This record gives sequence, structure tokens and C-alpha cells, in this order.
Amino acid sequence: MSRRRAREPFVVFGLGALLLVPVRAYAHDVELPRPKTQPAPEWPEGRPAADHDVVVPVVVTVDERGEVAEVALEASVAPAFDKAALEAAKRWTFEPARRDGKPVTAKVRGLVRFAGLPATSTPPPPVTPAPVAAAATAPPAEDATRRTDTVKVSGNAPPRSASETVKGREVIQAAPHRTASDALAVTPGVFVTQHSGEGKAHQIFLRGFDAVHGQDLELWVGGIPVNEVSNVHGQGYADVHFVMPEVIRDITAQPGTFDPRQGDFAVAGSVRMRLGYAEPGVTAKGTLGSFGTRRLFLGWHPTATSEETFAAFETYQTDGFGPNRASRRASAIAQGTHDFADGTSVRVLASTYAARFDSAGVVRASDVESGKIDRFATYDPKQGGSSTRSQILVELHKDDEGQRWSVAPFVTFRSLSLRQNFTGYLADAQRGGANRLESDNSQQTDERITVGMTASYRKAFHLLSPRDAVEVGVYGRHDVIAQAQRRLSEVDDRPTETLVDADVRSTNAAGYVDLAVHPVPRLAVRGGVRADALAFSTADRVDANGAAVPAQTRTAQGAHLGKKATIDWAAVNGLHLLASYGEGFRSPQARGLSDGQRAVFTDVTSWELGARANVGRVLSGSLAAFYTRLTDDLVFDPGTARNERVPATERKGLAADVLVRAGESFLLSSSATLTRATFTESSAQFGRGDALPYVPQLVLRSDAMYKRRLGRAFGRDLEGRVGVGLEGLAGRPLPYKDTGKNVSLVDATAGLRLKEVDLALDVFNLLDAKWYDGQFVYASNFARSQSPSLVPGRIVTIGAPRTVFATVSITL
Amino acid sequence: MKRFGIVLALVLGCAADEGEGSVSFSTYGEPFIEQEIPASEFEDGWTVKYGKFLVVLSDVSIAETEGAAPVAKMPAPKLFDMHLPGPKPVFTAGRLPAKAYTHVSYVIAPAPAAVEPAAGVSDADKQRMVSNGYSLYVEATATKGAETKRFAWGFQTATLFDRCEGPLSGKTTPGVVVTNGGTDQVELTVHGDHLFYDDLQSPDAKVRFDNIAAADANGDGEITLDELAAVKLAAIPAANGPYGTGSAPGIYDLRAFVEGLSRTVGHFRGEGECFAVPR
Amino acid sequence: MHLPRTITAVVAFALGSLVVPAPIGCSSDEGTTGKRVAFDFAVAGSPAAKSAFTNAQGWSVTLERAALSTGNMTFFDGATIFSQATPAWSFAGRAAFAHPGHYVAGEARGEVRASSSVDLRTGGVVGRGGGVSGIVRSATFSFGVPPQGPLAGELAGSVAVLEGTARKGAETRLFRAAISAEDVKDTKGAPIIEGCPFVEADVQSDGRVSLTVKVETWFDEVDFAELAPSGDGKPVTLPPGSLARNTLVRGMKAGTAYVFTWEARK
Repeated sequence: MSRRRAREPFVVFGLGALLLVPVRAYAHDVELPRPKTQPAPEWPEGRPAADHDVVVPVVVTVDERGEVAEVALEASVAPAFDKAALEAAKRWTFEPARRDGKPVTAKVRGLVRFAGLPATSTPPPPVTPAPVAAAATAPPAEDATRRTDTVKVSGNAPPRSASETVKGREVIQAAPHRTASDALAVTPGVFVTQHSGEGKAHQIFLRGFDAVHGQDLELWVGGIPVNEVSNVHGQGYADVHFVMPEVIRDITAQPGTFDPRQGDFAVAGSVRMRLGYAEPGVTAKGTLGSFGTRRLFLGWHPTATSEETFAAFETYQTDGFGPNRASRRASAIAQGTHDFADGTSVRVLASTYAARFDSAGVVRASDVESGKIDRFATYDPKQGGSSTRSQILVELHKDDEGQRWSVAPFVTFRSLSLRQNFTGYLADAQRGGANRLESDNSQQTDERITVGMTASYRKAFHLLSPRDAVEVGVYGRHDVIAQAQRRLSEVDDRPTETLVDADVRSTNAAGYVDLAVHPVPRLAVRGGVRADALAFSTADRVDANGAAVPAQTRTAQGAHLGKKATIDWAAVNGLHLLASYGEGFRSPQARGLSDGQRAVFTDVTSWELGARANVGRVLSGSLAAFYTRLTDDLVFDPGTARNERVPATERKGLAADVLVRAGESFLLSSSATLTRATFTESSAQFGRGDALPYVPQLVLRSDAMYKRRLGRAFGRDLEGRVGVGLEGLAGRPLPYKDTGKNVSLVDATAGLRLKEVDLALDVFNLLDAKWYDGQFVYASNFARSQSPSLVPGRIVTIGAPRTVFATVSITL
Repeated sequence: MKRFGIVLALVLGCAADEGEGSVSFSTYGEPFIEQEIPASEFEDGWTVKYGKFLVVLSDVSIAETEGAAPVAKMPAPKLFDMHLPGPKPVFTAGRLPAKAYTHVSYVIAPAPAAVEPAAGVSDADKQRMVSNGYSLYVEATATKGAETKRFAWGFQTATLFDRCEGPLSGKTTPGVVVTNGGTDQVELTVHGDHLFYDDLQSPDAKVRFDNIAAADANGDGEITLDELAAVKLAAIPAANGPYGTGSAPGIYDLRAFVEGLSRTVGHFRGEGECFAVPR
Repeated sequence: MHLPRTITAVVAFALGSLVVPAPIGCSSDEGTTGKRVAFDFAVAGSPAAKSAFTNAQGWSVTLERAALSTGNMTFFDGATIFSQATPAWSFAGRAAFAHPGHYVAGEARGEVRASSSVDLRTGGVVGRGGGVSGIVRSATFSFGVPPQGPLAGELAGSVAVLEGTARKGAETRLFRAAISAEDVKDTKGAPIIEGCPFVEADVQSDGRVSLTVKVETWFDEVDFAELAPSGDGKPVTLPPGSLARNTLVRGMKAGTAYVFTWEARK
């Protein structure tokens, strides 16, 4: 193709940017309640009785209509003043708080001020401006003039880069998603594939990174880290199958390494899922689908609570879209929140999940394309695995005037077993000679207990402006891991060779300081320093030749210090220009470290420059140029068929994201990410300036939803909806200047809701595109040849064909 | 706030300095050279006892990566008798910045006149090595039942043992790892059984002595290199071992074959391996 | 701000998500490292196959027949044992300790997957191969079993058939040797020769791989004195188990007898 064609997406984006720039924009996803009318309170005696003001602190619950639903005294002054203050506050009206533009209930803290004598000519402000109160509630820079005291709006921290996004439930649920991993696709620049069975962690591509199963992407769910340090299948393995798509409240994506909260594996960036279930009451949902798929979902959410209080259960089974693709899983999640009288809140999250799955594994592209095998065939029907995860988190947090603290310990129990055969009979037949070829299939097991915590304290202080704040956070986790990799006999599954048999202990302790200062109005500078110390201990029970030996223990430690900074300029109302810088890291595989070795981290440095803008609820978006540099990288190696260390690399690119709404009935979220990933150093295998293999250059994603009231039946509103998810992936370089096949997929949904009853039809891969889910290049010997070809060939996993799910939900 | 900044600056400063450590090289011939190679090691039931195993070690070199300038190098060649008991100190490189150094190599080459004899090595031994230009000299007795053979062989091969890697606490580690205040103790291990392997290239090579014993043409119990030279590899029955030579050129007789094997005695941290490059 | 127009633009953009990927690809000048290469594979005997040569035992040998069955060939970046060149890549983690040989084949760069047969005195292209760009330093040669190609009949199941005349002073021997796959099998039982020298080349384009079979290396140590003179003018078969035949077989198993070279397509 020509270079000119490759620029077409830029042109599209250029137009998009022009459309966005001139409008009033407000790029944050949570808007705090804004006071509309605040009539002055009446003095208890009907007149001012003091020569000074009397101030009564109150906490006001503002409902979705902007009206005061509830008022509570924060501190008592005197019974008469308390009563008068409560009555006054009840008359206040507000613009309601909004999340992603949608009105939500919020609590705000206010001061009812009884003006003393002599009365000032200008009425005293009833509500005083609040300093940046908490990580989750900091008002954006241009709100300096807004006079609102706010607490407990569980919103989002100010962005660290222009391209940071929060995708709420309405975007996530616009198009159908089978799993939480699939739902990650709504994050700009993310492309998700599942190459080895429904139950193995997805392979995630993000911004020019092949994060494989999580090595370059820090993933958190409900405040618990998901990445598994030193997982035997791959560094940072992150499996989110335990989350049902229904209980994802929102997905925050922080590309780059700009936030001090980002730690290990935040190389391409971080993704945090918050959990919640919005449907009040109890819901039962049954799904029947193609290929013998059955699913039952149960969920509840008490009417009077925030959506954070819920429980959900899922059981799923399928025969799969071809041989050896059956799977079964079950998951239960419960989360509850409670606010204590003193303002302290607690959140408890617990979940349990188990899955078992078969995998068709990989096939040679040439065998499929020549018709030698059916495209859904499998070479080795013994592939598959199982996975469990159980976890619990307790979060205590409190917001006070000008300060917020939280402490959240967690514990996770994980097990993973994978049996796979990526190369057929190659390992045993290298350069011929063996009389009987043993299969290369191997089983990896990884069992671990992770205990850890996050804790932070944010405090307002006046450095350059009253809105300045400092936050100190700590993070710790300790992983107790038992892992093994064994070749198994294909006759009786007996282990024939032990490649790994090790106990690993991994400890990560980190602390950060995060400052937010406002040197001049409209300008915010956020950033800080994060220090991570990591310690590893490995006891191997086999030596380099696979022979059993008494366990030898080796330990290694390392540290990383990262500096982060973001400059956020509210250029015009609703338009923010952001410049971001951040240093991050990826820890090495523990088993790869020698005794006493200073753990060599991959150092990551990111820059981003961009704009965020919005027009109220109608239109919001961002456009950013980014650059990321790595001191070394991991790339799939055809020689060893695993990710190996390669020289320094860089990513350059553009990311655009746009969200448009028309009332409550139409929503469209679109993003495009164009990246060029190249080596910046040469090695024997890679040349400076050459493209990194496997990472897609252009990722496009659109989610759209349209709904409307169709009429009334049985005394209830009948609502119809349609949704579509479009995904495009192009320019995926493969080794040796090959190019992977582009991918265009359409998922669609249509539904009818009659209050308690909901019918939905989900179609995945609507156009039945024949696509490759995974594409690799390496040598293999599936033909069981005594003298196999050793030159790397194209190996693929087959993407799912058109799949239809029909769902009935009943909500009471 | 200012104090906070000072703390941060200290942290930043500390992070850059990882300290210094050292690497200490020793050499060891293992029980095979110090005591005997037992019959269980041989395919054909022989036992070999060395009486002398002289090796000239030189140019032990440490570099951070391949192609980088060495950060430490052994100053002068040294002559060791591996038959003397225990590990023998070779060279210590001190005050190296703490990190992994993945390129380590050493040389076994003919003794220069200035070669330094290690403890226990006689002047006569040194003279023997220097005057003959030997890099390796062995004296040994081989027995099988009532049969006894003696041999005293000197080799003039010069070999660079390059890119050494070996097991370190259970992990195959290229080169050495320097830790803050610590010492990586590296053994340049010499394998006495390698002189009797029956294939130069195959990983399935076996240890044999029958063919060498049979080379004692004059039956005096002493097997000389000249007698080995008279044995064509082609004349060795297939049942007595393949004696494959891979791509090593010009190896047709047992003497050339054993000389080729003399390039494989150098190892790293016990069973660790280096690339053998002729010099 | 025209909202409908904005929405139209965004919808158009969203639909573009589907349309745009279709024509996008990577142009070759900004792709990944390396590329695929294709080459002709030619086999010929060294000049000694066509004219008389004198071996180390003093015999002047002239070949009248030199048929060789060739099989799959694979080319690697690892250097041959005891060679000055060493592979550029680290072998850390790739191979367990290889006792005692130091040949580590490394990564496969190219291969020929065709069995054929060739008259070493004339030589010829026996097939085509393919692979990926990069440095090559060694090769695995394999004998074709059973023999295929133009000389399959002549080979009659053997991997090589050699006939010729050896002269030393007044002595003359007419010899014939039919070498079987069994004769040349390696320690694993395969009729292959690993670690043959490939004259180091950085392959970056299509071209031609030539294998020169050095018949003088095959015969270098053969002493024909053991062989009975021909009584009828017909060649005498080297007796199985004879030193002469064993020596010839050893010569045929020496990696140095198979020298591969690369030549870019002009």
C-alpha cells in the first residue's frame, strides 16, 4: 500500500479535532452539584442577634433532579441555629451532580451562614469554596469560581493526560460483550483477543504494545490488582473472566505512566474497573445461544443504596464454535458499602470464580488457507485449562474538610492450569533423528496467594492557591507462588519432563507523593514521585537440564523511582490542554534473576500532549499525541516460542476519542489509535528503526446505542433499543516484513423492555467475518515430520464465527 | 515542603548508586582429576587416575556485555596442577560496580616463559610446559582388571573459552553477578573425563578407553601420542564408538581426536559451558 | 455548533472504523526486521570430482561415477565447532549445556525441502528453497532416503554410488562403493550431517545456495591397497567392513566435506 493511504486516518482525525475545538467543553466525567439558589437562612429570633456570623456545617444530599433530598448536621452549634440551618438548607436548589453527563445523587458539604451585624452590603457566600478534597473528588481547574463544598461524590480524579478516559456503563453496554475482557475493547486503543480457549486470559494490545496477557498493562478490578507477578505463563498475566460485564460500573483507562498511583506493569498504561450493579431490585437473566451456549445471571441491588452495593452470580457453559472449544465457568461477586455516622465509609468486596475450558490451540495458516484442514480444526485435542480466583477486599475511607484517607487491604487466591501445544512435535525432532517423537505439549500450573493493600491520605494545603493538595500513598503486595511446567505424555498424560518446578515469593512495597498545585488560575500542575522496591525469592527444584535437585533458593531485589508530572491548562471554557510526563517500569520474571542480582527493570518513559474538550453532555472528546520509550522490551521470539528480551523500543502515535449523545436516546463512543512501534537499538535479531512485530498500527472502535419508547403495553412503557460495536484493526506487522490480516468485526444487539421483562438478541461477528484472532510467526511441526521445517511460518488461532445469544431478563 | 524536597532528593541520589562488589575466580579439577575417574563413568570398565594435570590459565576477562570493553582482566598467565587437592585461586577482580556482567571468557594457551606457577607447581613442571609450549599436560594411569596403562600427554592447543555461562543458585546465568559488598565466587572447572569422549560434536558422546588402550602398539604399558597417531579413526569398529568429528577439520587419527577433545576441558561453575574458539 | 452535522461526522467516522482497515497494510520499507528470501539450490562436486586428485595416502583418484542422493537441507546462524566465528546471538536460555561438542545450531535461516539426486561430476540445480534474511554460518546436510530425482535408478536405494580409478605408482585399482543410509547415520540414527560449514554470509535478498561436495575429503584417507585389483576391467566393490570403505564412510560423514555458499541473485 502507499504511504498516502496510511495517512487517511489522520485526515479523519483532523476533521474531528476541528469540530471539537471551538465549542465550550468540559472534559471531566463527573460534574459536581452546583448551587442554583441558596436563600439566606433566617435568624432564630427573626433578626440578627450577634455582631458576628454564625456558621452551621451541614451535609446535603442532592438528588438527581437537583433537589435536596436530605440534610444532616455535620456539627451542632445550638439547637435553635441547628433547626434553622436545616430548614434553610432544605430550600437550596442545585444543578445535580453528573457522571458521564447523567444526573446522579451526590452528597455535598455546605455551610449555612447566619450573617451577623452589621450586615455587609454584599450577601455573604452561603457556601465556601472547598479545597481539592480527595483523589476522587478534586474539581477541575476551571471550576475555581464555582462555590461548592463537595464530598463523597465518587467521581474520578482529574486526568493525568489528555487521552485518559472513563467509559461508563452506558458505553460499555451499548454493544454486547461476552466477558469483562471483551468489554475492555471500549477503551481507546485496546484490541483484545482470546487465543487459547474461553477461560485463559485474553491477549491485549494497547497503543503499540502487545501486552500479551498483561505484561504491559496494569489492571485493577474493584481496587484489587489483577496482574500476576512472575506468572509461569507470562509476566503480569491478568485474567478478568471473574467479572461479569453487567457489574462493570466504569472503566478508567490511563494510557502512559503519568499517575503516581501507577506501578508495576503500567507500561502501555493502566486500566481500572470499578464494580457496581445499577438495576434496582432482583434480576434473573437466562441466555441461550449458538453452539450450545447457556448462561444464567442473577443479580440484586437494593433500591435505596448506591449501585456499589450489589451481588451477582453467573454460570456459563458452551460447546464452543468448533471442536475442543467447550468451556464452563461460574462466578459470584458481592460488594457492599456502608457510611458510618462519623463519616467513615466501608466497602467490602468478595468474589469467587472457577472455570474449565478446552482449547483448539493454534493452526498453521497455510494449512487453513490451502484447505488442508478445516478452519476450526485442532491439531492437539488435549489443550485447555482451568482457572480459579477468590478474593476479598475491605476498604475504609473517610472524607473530611480538606482531607481524605483510605486504607484497603486485600487478599487473593488464584490457581491456573494450562495445557497447550504451540509447536506440535518440534522440540523433540530438532534436526531429525528421534525414532519416536514426543509431543511438545506442556502443562503450566501457577498457584498463588496474594496479600496486599493500598492506602492513601490526601490533604489540602495552601501553597500557591487554596486548591492545592498533597497526597501520600502506599502500596504493598506479597505473592506466594508455586509454579511448574511439565511436558506430558500424550498417551497417558504422565509428566515426561519437568521444565519448571519452583516456589517464588515476590514482594512489592511502594510509596508515592502526589502534589496538585495551581500556580495561576486555569493552570493546574499535578505530579509527584513514586518509589517501588521489589524483592524476589526463588527456589527451583529442577536444574537447567530439567533434573530434579534439592531446592536452591536465590534472592534478588531492585528498586525503581519514577517521576510524574501533568500540566493542565484550561485554555478556554471547556477546553483543556494537557502535557504529561511520566516514568514507569515493568519488573522482571523472578525466575530469570540470579542470586543477589540487582533486579533489572524495564524503564518506561512516556510523554503526551493533547486536548480534552466537551460541550456539556452532548459531545466530549480528546485528541493526543503520545511517545513512549522503553529501555528494553519483550517480544515473541520464534526461536523459543516465548517472549524474550529485546533492545530498546519506542512508540509514537495519535489517539482520538469522541463521545456524542443526543438526549438519553442516542449515544456514540468512537476512538482511533494510530501507533508506530519501532526499535531504537539494534541487536542480532532486530534492526534500529524496524517495526515491532505483532502490534497493530491502527485500532478503531465505535460503540453506539439508540433507544426509544415504543408505546405502552400492560400499563407499562415499552422501550426498544439497538446497539452496535464496530472494531477495526489494521496494519499488523509480522516478522520478516509479513503483514497480518486486518480485522473488521461488527457486534450488534437489539432489545425490548417492558419494565420487569427484557428481551435481548446479541449477535457477535454479525457479518460472519473469517478472521484470525491470534497471528504468530514461528517454526512448528504439527505434521509429526521426522525432518520438520525449522523456518518460521505463520501460525494463527481462529476467531469466532457469527454467534447469536438470546436473553430473557426478569427484574422485580 | 522544603524538607520534603530534601528527602526526595536524597532518595533520588541513593537510587542511582548500587554499590560495588567483587568477583573471585578459582579453578578446580573435581574428584575426577584429584582422585580418579571411576569405572562407572566409562562404557568399557576402565578407571583412570591422574598423577599430574597441568593447565595454563590466562586472560580471564569480565565485560558487561559482549563487545563491551572488559572491566577486569587477569594480569598474567598462571600454571596450575589440577591434581593438587582443592580449588585454587586464579584471580580476583575487586571494586566492580554492582550489576550483572554477562560476558566472561578465559584462555587455555601454551605457557609463556613468564608463566607464574601456582602454589605446589614445581619449577620442573614449569620448565616442561614452557620449553614444550604446552597449554595442557597430563600424566595418568588407567586400569581395567589386571591391565594397567600409563600415559603422559602434552597438548599445544590454544583455546579461548568464550561467553561462559553456568548455574548460579539453580539458574543458568551468563557471566557473573556482582552484588553490593558481595563476592561472586566463580569456579573455572576443568573436566578430566573429556579427554576420553568418543565424539567431538555429538551431545550423546560416551567416555571410553578401550580404543586408547589398544593403541599401545609396542605393548610397553605406556601409550604415547605417537601411538595414538597411528590409530586411524576409520579403523575403530563401530561398536567401539562413533568417533565423530563434526566439522573439525583434519582429524583422522586418535591423537588428533584427543587433541581436539583437549579444547573441551574448560568449563564454568561446574557443569557450565563456554564456546570453545581456537586461538 | 450544528449538532446534527457533528453527529453525522462522528457516525461517518464510526463507520470508517470498518471501512478504513480494508486497504491498510504495511509498506515494505517500514516493516519489521528481516524478510523472506527464496533461492535456488545447486549441488556440485568440487573440481576433484571431474579431474584426478591425489589423496593423503598418495593415491591419484579419478571418479567415473559420483551419484549422490540429497535430502532436506537447513541453514543456521550458529557457527561450526572450533570455528573462529561464533554466533552473534546469546545462547543463554536456549540450549542446555551441550557436552562436549560446542556446536549450537542456533536459529534456522533457510531450508531446502526436496529430495533429489545429482551427478557430482556435472552438478546442477536440485531444487528451490526459502527462508528468512540474516547471517548463516552452518548447515545440516541430509542424504535423501530413499533416493529421488534423475539418478534414483542408478542409486538403487543407496545414498551414494561412487566408481573410479585409483593409481599409486604402478598400482591401479578400479573401485566401486555403494553407500547406504545405514552407513552414514548419525548417533541418533538419522542419515544427516550436522554442523557443516556455510561460508558466512549475510543473506538479504533472493539468490542461490550452492553446495560443494568435496570428494577429495571423502577419499582423503582411503588406502586402496586393501582393495583387490580388478581382473576383468570392472570396478571392484570396496568390501564391507574394510578399512578402505570405513575410511571412505568417515570421510563422507565429515562435515567439512559439505561446504555451502551463498550468492545473491544478480
